Amino acid sequence: MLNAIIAEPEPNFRDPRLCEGFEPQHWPLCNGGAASFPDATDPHDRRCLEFLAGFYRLNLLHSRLLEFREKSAPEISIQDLLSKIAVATSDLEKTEDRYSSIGLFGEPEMDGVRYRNIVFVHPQITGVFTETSVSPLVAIPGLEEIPASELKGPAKIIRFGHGKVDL
Amino acid sequence: MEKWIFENKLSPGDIVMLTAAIRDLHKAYPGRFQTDVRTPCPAIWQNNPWLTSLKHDEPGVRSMVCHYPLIQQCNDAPYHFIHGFIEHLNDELGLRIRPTAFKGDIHLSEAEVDRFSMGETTLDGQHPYWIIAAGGKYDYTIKWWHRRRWQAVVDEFRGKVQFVQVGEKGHYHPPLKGVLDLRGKTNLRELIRLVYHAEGICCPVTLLMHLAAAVPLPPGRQRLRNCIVIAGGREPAHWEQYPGHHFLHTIGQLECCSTGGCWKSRTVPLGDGSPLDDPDALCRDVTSAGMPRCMDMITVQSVCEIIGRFYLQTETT
Repeated sequence: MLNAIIAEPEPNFRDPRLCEGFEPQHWPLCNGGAASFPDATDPHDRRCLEFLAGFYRLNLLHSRLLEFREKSAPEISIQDLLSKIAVATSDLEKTEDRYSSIGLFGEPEMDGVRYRNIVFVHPQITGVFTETSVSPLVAIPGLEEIPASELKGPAKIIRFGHGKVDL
Repeated sequence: MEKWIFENKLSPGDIVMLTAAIRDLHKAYPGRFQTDVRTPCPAIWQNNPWLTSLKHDEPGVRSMVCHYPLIQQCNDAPYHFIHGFIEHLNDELGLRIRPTAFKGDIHLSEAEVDRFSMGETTLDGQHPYWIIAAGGKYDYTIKWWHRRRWQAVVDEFRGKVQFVQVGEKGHYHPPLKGVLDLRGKTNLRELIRLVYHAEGICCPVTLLMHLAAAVPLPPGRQRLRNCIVIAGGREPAHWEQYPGHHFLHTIGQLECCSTGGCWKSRTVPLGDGSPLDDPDALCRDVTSAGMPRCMDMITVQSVCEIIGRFYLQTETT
């Protein structure tokens, strides 16, 4: 089945900083500094917030787990927390997957088991494509059969089934 | 004596293929040609015995831009990439060059052969290593395998196989844990020396797979250099694969590459204004994990099995 996903920011994302009971000590740094505001509109900022929210959730759960173990909480409570950690980890991986196709990911810097800072690696989109493409050097079979009169004027781009091999 | 300057401005992998054509031109017509080149990555031509310094304004010197129009038939015709430039030279110059070796033509100086590679230096020359390239250029995102899969391969062999991660600065090469990280730290000659000393290579369809074949083997080494290429369905195996390589592909297994490589460029649009964002340049079958389905079908297990077999054989030997 064809599956046309687009790596757009999640439209239903809820910033945990706007949620009741937010615990700021578990919110990680973003590239060593403060994250964008919750109402940020830049798509890259929105994507980063999704990652940060995922790491925040894990920080929060890890912190609870440490507390429970210190208090020798009932095993069932610990098992419940471990299940939540598994779900949160899986959710974070889904966020990673969502943006892997554009090369965006958050590389965490740790402080013990705590995600202290998330360094984001992403393409400099505006710098990826330049007009100094090598495309004029791609062989175009059949060009010689086109009358010279039709080769004047603005350049025409004709696509063939095979792109150039770009290694 | 015919004097030719051959030109090409494509990527380093393409230039490696041009080295084969120049070699085979001279082998087919000994003493008939003097040749020089104008290409990116001049380091690829370092120590190349088939080149003579020629200038465009010297009397009798001609030049031509080299292409490989054979690529338009690559899905159907029984040709390898190595035939591409050769056939173009044959057509343009009325020659009958034939490939003489199933590899490009990279030459190392004695000093380069004697010196440790960066990998060996860092590893005190004690450890054999594999090179791993876990990404590529941002403009051809369709070639990427998922970084967690690359990591899983490394993790599988932790303590048994030393991986050296390479990749050009500015390209997409997510950091892997448990590797020697040489991303952005090797120039092309250093990369060639790294390949020379490597036991094996694990990469997408990229320059490294061409180097794996083209870089000579160290003296005494009998077995071909291992190279596992995570290829998917973009390019036909017979066009890209070298002897001894494991070209993991899905041609014929999916509708979108049912009869040959799809030659698409990107998984999703990047929004950079490139024609590679055009709908007909985008992958038609992307999984919910954000991977081209053909790349998704190549499992960590299949890669690990191949690496594992290499070590099983080594231990037996």
